[in-house]
Parts: sequence; structure tokens; C-alpha cells
Amino acid sequence: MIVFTPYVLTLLIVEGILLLLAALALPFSLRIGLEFNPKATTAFQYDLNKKSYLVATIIMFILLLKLPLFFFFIWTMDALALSVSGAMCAAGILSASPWGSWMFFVKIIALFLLCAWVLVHRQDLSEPTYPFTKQKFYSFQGLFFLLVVEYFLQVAHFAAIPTDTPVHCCSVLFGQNEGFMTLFWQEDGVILGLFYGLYLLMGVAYFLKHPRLYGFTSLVWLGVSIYALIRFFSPYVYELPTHRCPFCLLQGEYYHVGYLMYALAFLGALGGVFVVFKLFMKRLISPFWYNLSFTCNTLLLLLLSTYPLGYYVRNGVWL
Amino acid sequence: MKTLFDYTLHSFNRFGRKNMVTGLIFTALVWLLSSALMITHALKQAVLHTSASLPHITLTQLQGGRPGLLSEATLEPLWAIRGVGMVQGRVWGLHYFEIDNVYASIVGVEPYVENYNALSSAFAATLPQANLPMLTSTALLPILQPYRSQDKISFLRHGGGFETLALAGTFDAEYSLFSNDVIVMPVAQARAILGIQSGFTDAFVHVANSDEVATIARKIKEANPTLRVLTKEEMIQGYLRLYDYKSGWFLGLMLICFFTFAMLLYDKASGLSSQERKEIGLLKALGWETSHILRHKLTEAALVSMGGFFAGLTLAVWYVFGLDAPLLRHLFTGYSALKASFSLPFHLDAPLLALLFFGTVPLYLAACIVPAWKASIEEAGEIMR
Amino acid sequence: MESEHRRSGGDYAMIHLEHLYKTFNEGSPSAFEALADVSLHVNKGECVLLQGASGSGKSTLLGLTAGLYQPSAGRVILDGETFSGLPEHFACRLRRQKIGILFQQFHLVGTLSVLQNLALPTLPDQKEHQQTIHALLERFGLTAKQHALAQTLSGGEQQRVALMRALVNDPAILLADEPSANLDEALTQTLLDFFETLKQEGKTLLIATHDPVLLAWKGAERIVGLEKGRVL
Repeated sequence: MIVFTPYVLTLLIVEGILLLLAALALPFSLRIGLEFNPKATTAFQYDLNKKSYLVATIIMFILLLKLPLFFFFIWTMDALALSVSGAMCAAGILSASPWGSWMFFVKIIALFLLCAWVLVHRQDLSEPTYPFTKQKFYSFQGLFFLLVVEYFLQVAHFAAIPTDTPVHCCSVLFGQNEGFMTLFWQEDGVILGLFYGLYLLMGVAYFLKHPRLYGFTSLVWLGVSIYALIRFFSPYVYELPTHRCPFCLLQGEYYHVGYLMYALAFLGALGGVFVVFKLFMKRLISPFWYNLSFTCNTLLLLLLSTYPLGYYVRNGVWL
Repeated sequence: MKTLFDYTLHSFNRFGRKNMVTGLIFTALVWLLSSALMITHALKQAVLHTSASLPHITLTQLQGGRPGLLSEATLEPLWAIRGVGMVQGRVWGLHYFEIDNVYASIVGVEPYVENYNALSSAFAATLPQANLPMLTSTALLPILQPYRSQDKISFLRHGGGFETLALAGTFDAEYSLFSNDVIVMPVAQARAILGIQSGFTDAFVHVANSDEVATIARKIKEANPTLRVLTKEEMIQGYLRLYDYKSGWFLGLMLICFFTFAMLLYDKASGLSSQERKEIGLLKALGWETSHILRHKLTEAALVSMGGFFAGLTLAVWYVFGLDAPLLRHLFTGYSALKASFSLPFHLDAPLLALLFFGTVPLYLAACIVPAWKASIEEAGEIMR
Repeated sequence: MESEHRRSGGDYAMIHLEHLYKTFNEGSPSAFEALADVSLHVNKGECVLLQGASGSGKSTLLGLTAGLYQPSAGRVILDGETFSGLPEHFACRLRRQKIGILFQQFHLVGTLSVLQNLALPTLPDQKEHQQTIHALLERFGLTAKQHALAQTLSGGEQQRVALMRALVNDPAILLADEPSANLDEALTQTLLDFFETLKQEGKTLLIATHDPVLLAWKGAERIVGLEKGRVL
């Protein structure tokens, strides 16, 4: 069974350890969330304060490990592609069970929320009244629930990957259906219009330093840019009009450019998330987060744009 | 001493004995796990590398559920299937060398017939000129010594008598795992030695368009359901899954060791000496915060675990690729006194190193979090009393 | 953050202790009240001696002033900032910046060198302190012994290192708990000379002692008596 292969087993063990630690932190975080009072000086409050260090350390440990573990997760899926018939890359593995896409989606959300938690945590500790302690520990309940869902989705997905029937590969999953009418949102014009248009709007929000508009546009742009990457830009990377795949980009024959693209997309969106959270906390938003986000998004736009432009310059035609 | 990190380093010298014991045990566990996974990784790479020379489709005749001989008549109709480039029977089998109690594979090769790998093809080209030549791997030479007279080697024929062949040369297989026990000779002699007068041990099928292998395989199966049809992809996956399965089980068993170790570590890490406790109280009195003590203790754990990891990894590389992993590799390749030995090809890549890292270090660190926290919440007040 | 300036004779109160109570092991059968309703102020540049027998609460009072434990009731205000009740991060930062502590037992880390012992209070802030440390070594005449392990030093040398460590962050307040307990007469006099210099530099001193030599020192502005946790 796929679950017993070394990569999957290791992934599930490490995720399991993190989940166990989170479970250990859960009751303390609930107690702190309900009963913490920074103004009180009783022994009970000091005890809660001490426990808050344990919970915060565990959450930081989870985040610190989950970030590189995400890369390992991608490598695991890629490694499995060799052992499962039909799969040419991680895309095939992801689609091999009904849980794959959900698992991936929940993983990304969990990463973003863990990063946001750390932001709130650091803001909280920088003020002597500890204004966000109760909320941040109380919100851990939701985070924990997400981690549990993520874990069980992973187990369900890997356990359900068939070893005897072939799975789809990316050209089937992401390919356009020949002979059928292209849907509105599959049109190149619409994709590019959304991609560049939203970027311009984000640029306006950036220059105005408008947190609501910037937060909204940067988060929507994450989705739009990934969609544009898959549908429009990736064929230019592969130089094949029918090859649309978000995972083959990570492979050596394309110089692992996918890692750079996704890192930029993640950091760009993360900056936007941080702007939004700072807004919710009603605290001053450092220009650093705007700059980080917009710079990464700009670099991503430039990187993606060089592929079709480069192809046109070399070949005189579009794909 | 300018940073907290410097303080942690200095603490190793002062409170290091406890860390040494746990560090050594951790190194040993990392070594064991790394060795096992490096062995299977090397075997998998060998499979992937030699897969280039595997035929698109391999056919075997099943008789009563067991492999039998393929007849020419069975193979003839397969040429008619559209997409089939070539169908060629192969004569090969195992020959027992009584003196060394070892089996070797004898492969028969015909001139002017396409062979499925470069070695056989190159050898086949020499057949018309030479007088009954044979080719073998360097690993088999010592085993053939008792049957050798000058450059002629005699093989016991099936049914009695001897076949004598001239040793035309040896090959040093790049991936000795698969061809370490191979002797290549003209097909007539192979038939005589193996007792396969007519028919073939198996057959390989070349497909004109490699994307159609699965379809052709299906058509062959439909044409003749008694044949066992194995595509190249299935063969590779079969090997990969076998090694994954074995290493997965090994990993699972190692888990028990690691968790036991984690409990030991938790216990050891939780026990602060009175001197250490006093020092933490002093640091707090001097203005260190709980977070600083936590950072110090977790840095300590990180240094021990990373040090143990690199030490274990280095030992494993030396053990697997330098010493050829004595004892341990038989777990994965199967122990057979009847087979010639081989050496493991060197291959390490980033995903494997990541696998080894994630399989070891996080557990160590996780076991240290609560003890580190307990140490960091020591009160400073005692120091004034 | 509250900012209070208590004026007493025109001077600024560096240390202001307001109706402090401290009960250890609160809520358990072994609970005992170490301090009860103690109020005290020490002006900037002043030296106040806390006099009392063993168990009178002197060390507890110093511990509360340093923020090593929290009062059961009352407030500690240092340099205008309410210290008690501050979250740990801010309290520790304040302690590092404003307070130097000289312990009765010195509490040097014997297996570290003099230089390393002096660096300990500076590590959390990770600021450059090498110049200050070397200046202190020179001032107290221990430059030659900077690399010697603390456990190899004589009593007087250890005391000097302990004092240097208390001063390395240039605190405004020095708290000393029975500083002459392990010293002979000559060294005690040297210590008093150091205290005098510190006063002249504007530092505020709060010293717990029952040593008659210290109690007779003219440099101390006031002597506050403690008995069974109460001010006499």
C-alpha cells in the first residue's frame, strides 16, 4: 500500500507528531483564551502566563517545520509518480483520489493561517497590555481543527491511491477538451485581462497604501495568477500548447523554475494577508509588508511574462 | 561570549555529558535508518538506470500457473498485431556450479538477430568470427576457475557430457546488481547446457511507438490469455514498489526504536541538575526572560540533533557505499548464498536527504520542547532566599 | 504606563514601594507572610540601608524591588514606571536596564571566566558591551584575570566581579543583599569606597545588611529597620 512507502510514511509520521504537539497545546490554549487577564497578578494568572510560552513555542515549532515539510510533501508526490502507473508528475498523484485537491487546498490555508498567527503573536508581545492574548489562543481551536482535517485528508488520500489502475496525468487533468467550446474563463483574453488588470488595480492600492483594497486584490491575484500560470503561461514554459501542468514546472528539465514561481506567489500573498491582519488588529501597517508583497507579485508577473514574450521573440509566433 | 548562541555552545562543555549519551544513541539510530534507506534508494536507482535497456514487453508462457517454454508457433501470430515492431524469443536459464554452490544465468545469443541490450548485441556481432566464445562478468571468474583449462571453460550439459567454450572476455557491469551473474554464449550451446532443445524461455516484444506499449500489451493478452504479459513500466514499478515496501516496513519498525528513544530523551532532558537549575535562576535574576532560556535549551537540542544527524549520515554513507553494507543489504536484496555478490551504486539526492532529515530530527526536537519549557519557567526568586 | 514623581524634600524618588505585602505559598498550609504593609521610597542618588535580623524580610523586599517575584499586594514603582504587574518581557527589560543586583553569595558561574560572567546580563539585548566590560575590568583592577575561571578567584576578587556584573548594563539602581557577609574588614572598607563612588555617579543604592560596619557608614542617608516583615 502507498501509505507504507518511506516518503509517505515519513510525511505522515512528522505531521502526526506536529498534530500530537498541537493536541497537547489545545487545552492550555483554551484555558488561556477564556481566563487570561493580563492585569491580574494572582498565582493562577502567572501559571497561565507560563503555559502561554509552551503553547506559543509549540505553534512556532509547527510552523517552522510545516514550511520545509511542504517542500517534502511536493517531493513525496513527485516520488510517488514513479510508482503509480499513469502519473507523470505530482498532478497525477494529487488527482488519484477525491481527497487530493482538498488536502492541498487545506494545507495552503493552514500555512497562511499559521503565519498570520505568528504575526498576531509578535504584535501581542510587543505591547505591555498583551491585547491579543485571549483572542490568539482562543483562535488556536480553529487552527487545530484545520490541522486535524488536513491530517485526515492526507491519510485518506494516500490510502486511496490505486496501485493497480492507472491514474490521470496532467495533460488529461488540465488539458482543454478538444472539440468542445472553450468556456469563457478559459479564453486567453479573459485570463490575461484578469491577470494584468488585477495587477494594475493592486498597484494602485499599493501606491495609495489602502489596506482593504490591497489585501483584497493581492489575495484574489494569488488565485488568478495560479490559474493564469496553469492555463496560459505553463504551455510557454513547456513550449507545448497542450501541456498545462502546475507541477511539471518543478522538475529539473525546466530548471525547477516552479519553486521560484510558487515562492514568489506565496510571499506576495502572505504580505497581503499580513496587511489584512494588521488592519483587523487596528495597528499601524509597516510599509515592509506592502513592499514585500508587491515586489514579489511584480517579480512573479515579470517572470511569467518572459516566457510567452521570449517564445514570440525566438519563434515569431504565439503558441 | 557575545550572543545567546555563544552561551549555548559554552554550556555544552559544562553540562554536556548528558547530551553526549543521547547524541550518541541518536547518531546510531540515524545511521541505521539512513543505511537502510540508502540501500533501497541505490537499488531503486539501479532499477531506473537499467530500465533503459529493458524490453518494452516481456512475455512468458504459463503452464499450470508456472512458467513454461514458449514455442515458435505461439510467437508467430503476434507479428500480425498492428504496432508490434519485433517479437524475439530468448533462451536463458540458471546453471548450477556445484563446487561453489552458486547459480549463474546463462544467456544464449544469436548472430544477425536483434538483441534487446547493447551487451548482447555487441557480443552477437563477434559470433561468426570466433570459435564458440563466451562472455562473463568479472565477479563470476573465480567461480568458473575450477572448470577452466587455460582459456576454455567446460559446462555440464543437460543430459550428460560437456560443452566447452572459449572465454572471449569479461564485462564489468555498470550496474552489477542485474548482470553480475550472467554468462553470455551462442544460443546452440546455451540450449545444450540448459536442456532447452526447442522453444524459448521467454520472449521480448519491441513496439514501434513506445506510447502504445500498454495498448499492444492488452492486445497480446487478448490474443493469447495463457501468456503472462509484463510491460517495462510494470516491471519497473514492481521493483520500485518492492523496495518501497521493504524500506517502508523497516522504517515502521525503526519508528518503535525512535519513539522509545524519544521517551528516554524526554526523561533525560526533563532532569535538570541542581547546578543547571541554579544557573537558570541566576540568569533570570540577571534579566533573562523565559523566552531566552527556551531559545537556549531548544538551540541546544537543535545542535545535538543536527550534529547526530550529520554524524549518522556520514557513517551511513561510508557503511553503504564504502563497505557495501554487509549484513543489512541482504534484508533488501534477499540473502542467497547461491548468488554472486554485487556492489551498491552511489546515489544520493535532495529528496532522500530530506527524507532522512524529516524522519529523525523533528522527533528529537519535539521530545525536547516540554523539557525545555519546564526549564525555562524556573523561578528566579529562590536566588534571594 | 503611569508616571509618578513623588517628591520628598525636592528629590526624585527612584524607588517607590507602596504598601507591599508578600505571602509565600499562598493558599497552602505552609503559607507564610514575609512582608506586610511595607512602604518605602529612595531618592535618586540616595543610599538607604535595610537593617534587620535574619528572617526579617530584607531579602524579600529586595527581591520584590528587583521584580524577582510579584507582590501579593501593593506596587513597586521604579524611576517613575510601575514595575510590579508588568508582563515578563517588559519587566525583564526594565530589570536589565535599570537594576543591578549584588547577591550575598555572589552567585558567579564558577565554570565561566570573568569576562563571560560579565557578559551574561548583556546577552539578551545583544548590544555591544565590550568597551564597557573592559572599562570595568580596568577600573576594578581585574584586567589580568579576565580569562580566569570565576571559581579560581579569591573572595575579594569574586566580590569585585559580582559588583562589575551588577554594573555592566549601567543601571541607575543597585540592590545589594548582605554585600559584606563574606568579606573581612579591609575588603568591606574597599566596598564602601566603591559605593561612595557609585553614589557620586548618581546611582541609587538599596542595601540590606546587619553588618555594624555598614550600618555605621556615613554615606548612607537613612537606615530603615525591618522586623517580622514590617517596617519599624
